[in-house]
Amino acid sequence: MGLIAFAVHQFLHAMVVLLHGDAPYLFCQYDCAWYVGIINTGYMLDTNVHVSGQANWAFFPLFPLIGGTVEWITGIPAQVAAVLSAKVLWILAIWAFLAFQREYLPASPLWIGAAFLVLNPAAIYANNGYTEPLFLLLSCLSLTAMRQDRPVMAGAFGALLTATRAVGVGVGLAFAVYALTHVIRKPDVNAGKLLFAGMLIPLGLAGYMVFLHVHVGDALAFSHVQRAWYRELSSPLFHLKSGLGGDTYSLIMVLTALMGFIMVGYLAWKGEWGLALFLLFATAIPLSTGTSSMGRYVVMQPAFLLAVVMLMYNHRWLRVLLVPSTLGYLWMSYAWQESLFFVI
Amino acid sequence: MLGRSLCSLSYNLRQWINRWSALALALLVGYAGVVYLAAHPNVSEAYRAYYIDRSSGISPASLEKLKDPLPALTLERTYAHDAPEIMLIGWSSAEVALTWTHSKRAQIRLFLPTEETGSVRNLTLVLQGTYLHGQQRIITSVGPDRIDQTYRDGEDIVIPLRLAPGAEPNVIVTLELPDAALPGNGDSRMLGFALRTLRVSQTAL
Repeated sequence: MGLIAFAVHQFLHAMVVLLHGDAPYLFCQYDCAWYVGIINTGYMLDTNVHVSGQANWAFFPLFPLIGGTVEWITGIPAQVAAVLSAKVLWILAIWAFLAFQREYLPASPLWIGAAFLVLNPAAIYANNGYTEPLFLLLSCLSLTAMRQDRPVMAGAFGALLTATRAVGVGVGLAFAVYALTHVIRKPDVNAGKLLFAGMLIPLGLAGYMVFLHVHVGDALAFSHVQRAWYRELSSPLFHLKSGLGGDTYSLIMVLTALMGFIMVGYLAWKGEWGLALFLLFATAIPLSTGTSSMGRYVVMQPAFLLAVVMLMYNHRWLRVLLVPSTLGYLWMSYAWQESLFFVI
Repeated sequence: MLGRSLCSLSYNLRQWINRWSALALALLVGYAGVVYLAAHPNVSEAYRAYYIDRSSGISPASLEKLKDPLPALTLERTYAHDAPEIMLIGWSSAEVALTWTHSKRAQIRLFLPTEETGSVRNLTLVLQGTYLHGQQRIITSVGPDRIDQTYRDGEDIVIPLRLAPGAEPNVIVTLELPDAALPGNGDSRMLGFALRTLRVSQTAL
């Protein structure tokens, strides 16, 4: 099932690239270009950042480490290594998501999850050297391990997740719900083991912070550098309100964030409190710095994807949404080849 | 009864305090160290002012570049927006064909060619580029001289430069863009003017 889904995803993208004609199939731009910079020359020192103040500290190390390893082994250019690494991770992410769906929603047919995962507008980010496939892979593995009652494995995948993107820390909320449930329901539970597993989760982030302190002198450089992208920390409600009165792009991003919050409520209603809290964190934290890129931040979350699968499983008529969703993926594939700003 | 309760409590405590707890404690101590590092950055004043306190609008890299000597311009030669002879302060990152201003104020630093003429030299600086929404009001100033004008696409920004004998050939041109705005396509920058090329010429008498 996973391989079929991957093949369909790649076929549609290849068709768009072929019809578009200009830009290559393995097209690395925007964030991908930042990762390529890290692969080629490593993290910047505070003395050699761009005059605009932008620096690659905002980009977490696990994905460029993987891309850099692929480049080192194969000798292919870093741009190609980044895009190919993301595609290979995407195959694994599809498989991991289906395993996650089987654990959390065993009754639902896998094709629904596979179809929505590869045929949604944010699925474009699996094709172009972004961290979305790696983030999805690791978060699905961590959440699946929790459901299978393997806390140390869940914590270890969580540690890798926090080395992928800062918002990965949110999986700690899902773990907290899992651990508390166990402590309450099972008096003989090994609480020390649960505590250790939970404490593993921030390890990736902590490791990157220590590196930044040694390299730049500022352990929070990944957050402080957001200033150079005009991202100001504020209330998510402020950004929601601003976006609603803004341009079309902002409106779409705000609506996506609102959909994320609705799915948080739906998951909570279904009793999946851990997933609901993780999705709430993964939606509210990026939203507190602006509406930019909210589409991929929300939609490529396993909890969001699972909530949609739940809805499509419980309400058959909602499966018709796969049609506009597929068109959205095709449109985003075209927009990427056109380098339109909103795909960033 | 009391003995049984104590035994049970002791059993539970032993369950909690085991090797896993010791490992968790070790991680906790490590994280406390990371929090300490985060609270005590070891950075320059310029870094702190721009990235941490946000009390400065000029990035440390811009400040450093201000100290660098610039290569002198050649008269009558057209320079691209990202030429090393031009320093843009308060502008966005260079794109392929242009560089946008990203707030209501931007500066250009130039080093004019020196020439001992013994008299005032009149030069003309021409900025060629694109304006957000096809037109922009821009106030240019070099020292005390100011020009307040609305420019339309296809129209260049022309700035006269007067260089007195023996004067410092290091010139800073300031552009104020009161109508700079969000472009409405999701770009979070306050765009106004995008520089494509720059040229300094001898003013025709």
